[in-house]
Amino acid sequence: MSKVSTQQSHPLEDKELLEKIRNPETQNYGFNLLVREYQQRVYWHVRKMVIDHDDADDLTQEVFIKIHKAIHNFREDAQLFTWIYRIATNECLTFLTKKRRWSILRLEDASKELSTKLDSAPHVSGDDVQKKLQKVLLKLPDKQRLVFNMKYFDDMPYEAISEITNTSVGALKASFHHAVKKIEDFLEE
Amino acid sequence: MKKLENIPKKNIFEVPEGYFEKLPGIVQSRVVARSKSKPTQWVFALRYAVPILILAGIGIFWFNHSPSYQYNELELELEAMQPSQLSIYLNDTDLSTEELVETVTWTNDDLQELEDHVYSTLDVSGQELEEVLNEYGVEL
Repeated sequence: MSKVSTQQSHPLEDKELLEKIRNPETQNYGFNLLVREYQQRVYWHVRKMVIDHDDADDLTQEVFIKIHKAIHNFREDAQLFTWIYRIATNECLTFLTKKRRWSILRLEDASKELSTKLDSAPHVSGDDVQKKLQKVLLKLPDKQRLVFNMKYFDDMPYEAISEITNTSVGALKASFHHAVKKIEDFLEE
Repeated sequence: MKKLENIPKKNIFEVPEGYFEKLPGIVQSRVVARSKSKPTQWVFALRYAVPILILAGIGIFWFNHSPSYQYNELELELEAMQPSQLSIYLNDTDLSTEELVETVTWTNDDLQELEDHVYSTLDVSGQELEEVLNEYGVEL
């Protein structure tokens, strides 16, 4: 098993990547470089939300296929990483919404199911305290959990999270503050 | 209260060995497969054009052969016909008054309307009327 940091050490310039993708002669090579550049950040972002590796794998592939479909319309109004994160975030939230709807139909609790996976699914390590923290996180609403993950685990600045989630910095700060309070209350139980 | 800052910040999730080495290839192959299976533009256009053309054809056929359309055409033809032509046609046919009456269902309103119409268009003097009545031996 390997564990990989969410941060890349030698990021390739986005501009250079986009130039390669837009050139018909180098577009396949350019897209391959983009996947290599962003795969880990996308995967870990997704994985922390959906918990299960297989689900995260499917969603990560879908995210890159969507990126490939839409990359020629990317107008560089936002940073490439922000745009990619936004696609990944939308995919995650859509997946979780569908999962919850199915759970309701089957009279099951989606959060409980994900919580069980933390104990039983392969490719999960960590001690009891860290697993407990993840279980507590599953009690938060999906969007709040998403904000918490980006701020707490990925150390992303509020401005970047604001661009990705299309939410004001003030609202994000309030959301994070409430999330921390809820988590500490749950941990105390 | 248990503080969040006391819990070591650690990613507890793992991936199978070599996952990130294989993922770009998997994504690339899916992208290529998608591009190959993508229908060409004219096939895409035909997919929408053919049903529309079929539906339009059915619509035109139905409109031309629908009973209401035929009925409207008949009405228009009758309207265009002169009353004298109609009289000639009715005189030339072998239909008796009884047969005509049998084929038509008259309501009281229809009969009243017909009577009003006849009297409103009757243009005879009193003397002429008297002569006709005498001829047929009718007494009022």
